[in-house]
Amino acid sequence: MIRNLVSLALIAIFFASCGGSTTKQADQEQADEIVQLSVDEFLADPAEYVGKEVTMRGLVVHVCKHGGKRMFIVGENQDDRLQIKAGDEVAAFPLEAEGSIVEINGIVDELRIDEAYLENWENELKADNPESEMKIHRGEEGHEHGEGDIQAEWNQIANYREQLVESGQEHLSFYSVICNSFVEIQEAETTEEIE
Amino acid sequence: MKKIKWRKWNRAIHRDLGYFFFAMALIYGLSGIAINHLKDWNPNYIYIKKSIEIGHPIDPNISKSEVLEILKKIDEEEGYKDHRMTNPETLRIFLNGGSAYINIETGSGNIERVKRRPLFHAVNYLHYNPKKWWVWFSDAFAVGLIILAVSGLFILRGKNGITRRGAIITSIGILIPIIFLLLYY
Repeated sequence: MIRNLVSLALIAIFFASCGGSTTKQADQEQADEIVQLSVDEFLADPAEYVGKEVTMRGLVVHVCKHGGKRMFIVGENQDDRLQIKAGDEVAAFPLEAEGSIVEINGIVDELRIDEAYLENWENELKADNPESEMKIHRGEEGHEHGEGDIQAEWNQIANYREQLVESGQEHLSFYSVICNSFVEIQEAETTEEIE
Repeated sequence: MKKIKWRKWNRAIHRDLGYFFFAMALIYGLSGIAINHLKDWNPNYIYIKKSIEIGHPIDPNISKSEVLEILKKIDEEEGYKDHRMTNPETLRIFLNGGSAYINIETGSGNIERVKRRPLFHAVNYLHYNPKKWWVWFSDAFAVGLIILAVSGLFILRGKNGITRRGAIITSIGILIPIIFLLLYY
């Protein structure tokens, strides 16, 4: 009996030691002023908000079907979509959110694509690394059907290399928001006419 | 001085950790298999497709009321959320729990419904570490697994113990990942 109780006590101690630290410091670091803006305002000058905490509303036009780790929202201009990535506090975005207005809160992130990035991506493709995270997700309709399509990735690399040369810049920038929280506001209240 | 009966302690810890983490082992086992095969299936959702026929072409600048008329014809007007052109030929109507895709030139298309896959959606949700405290609990489970593995080696004595049969089977289990690493790492 004593052995049983001690064994259970050991398990309890084990848990107490595993869950110790708090996240207050991390929360405090993120407690800077939150910028509230529309998706269109953000997309007009995304570089302005890199590293900042933002809150914005948009229509969910796509949730990645494998895992739901990314979703894409649009504002008034439905052609420009913004990538939202699930952060530490968001397990996955529900597929049912497609077509709904959501309010998201998160930190703006910039992914810079330069020649070195493209070379690394090429090397990952040559090595056939299934864990490669180099691919750029743009959330196009039905893109999941092309998952694992190596040729499509080679084409994507060639395309970005071309864009890089045309831009005359050292890198291309892709912006996304690492989502801390999101809430479904309501079913989208329409848009009488499609823009 | 009284000798510590470490084997009895080992058995007790192994047994109680085993009981305690039974559910976690099933959760991570099931979701592990599910996530290993993401290319072959979607473990989170079931897709139900149904063909629809509107019977006439559609104006790409269709209004909400016209979309609702279309949905009424196919008994789906209750589920309307929004609509948009996804490309020059396809109108997408967002519905509760799915979408309708209609070719605006032919008026034909399909409704794709999504339904959460029972059990797998829930265990995969947990596998993706939804909250920080869950990360701590799953870390605890990971440490628990290490303790279970090590303590398991010393449960039995004799011909089935770690010095005889156990040694052979444990060695095979160690060799498999080593061989894989030598071949592919």
